[in-house]
Amino acid sequence: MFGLLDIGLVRLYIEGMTKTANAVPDDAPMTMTLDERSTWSYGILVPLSTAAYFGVVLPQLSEAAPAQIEWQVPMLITIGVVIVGTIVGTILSAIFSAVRSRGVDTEFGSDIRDKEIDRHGQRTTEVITGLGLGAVIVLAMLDLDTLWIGSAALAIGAIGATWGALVKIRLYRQSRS
Amino acid sequence: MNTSTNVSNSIRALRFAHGEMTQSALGATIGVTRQTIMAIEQGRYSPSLEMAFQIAKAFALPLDEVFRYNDPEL
Repeated sequence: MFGLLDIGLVRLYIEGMTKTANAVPDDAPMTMTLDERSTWSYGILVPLSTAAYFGVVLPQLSEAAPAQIEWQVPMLITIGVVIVGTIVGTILSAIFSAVRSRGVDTEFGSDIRDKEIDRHGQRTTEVITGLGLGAVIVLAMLDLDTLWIGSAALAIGAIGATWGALVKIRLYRQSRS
Repeated sequence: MNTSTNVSNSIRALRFAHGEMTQSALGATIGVTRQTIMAIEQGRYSPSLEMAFQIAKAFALPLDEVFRYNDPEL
């Protein structure tokens, strides 16, 4: 599910906004690439927004049966917040970085190193969501309320996406420090 | 992805020998970011074979004058 929330749109948008600065001095502050920025945004937003979803939905169980709980709208809002938040967070972060370096370092593009790191993150996400999909299927087989099935799918997607983001952030930091 | 490597390189020295070429300029020559050039220079990232050849070509040198393999068994 969260795999759909890729950063392609973000990259296209910001690369259109920024220019390549070939003459950035070596001692200029090392900025993050767009992929790294969106990984941070994503890695923060996914767990927070998912926690907010469960914070809104689960307390309702004390007052109503699962079948009566309106979980669909909070889930759509959660997914929307992650999509929009990742785009906005990445753009604002890039703008802030360009302003902080006084326009010296505006090279935010991504390259093959980002693609390799992304592949590792995606692999982690796919393993977790793949295993989690089995759990969701079991819930459906048990004919549980859609609240549980939808929420389990969201939780598994969020865990996979967050874990994948953490793997990517670790690889970014290893290749820099 | 290999972030720990036994491959060392002379990119930093070669950049300065080539008119104090910046990491950014070298990156632009071979189509990668400054971040990647810095990671390669510091031995934190192993470039692909193709990228290694591109870097050597940017300095007009053979590959083994830019990159060296430090065999841990020696």
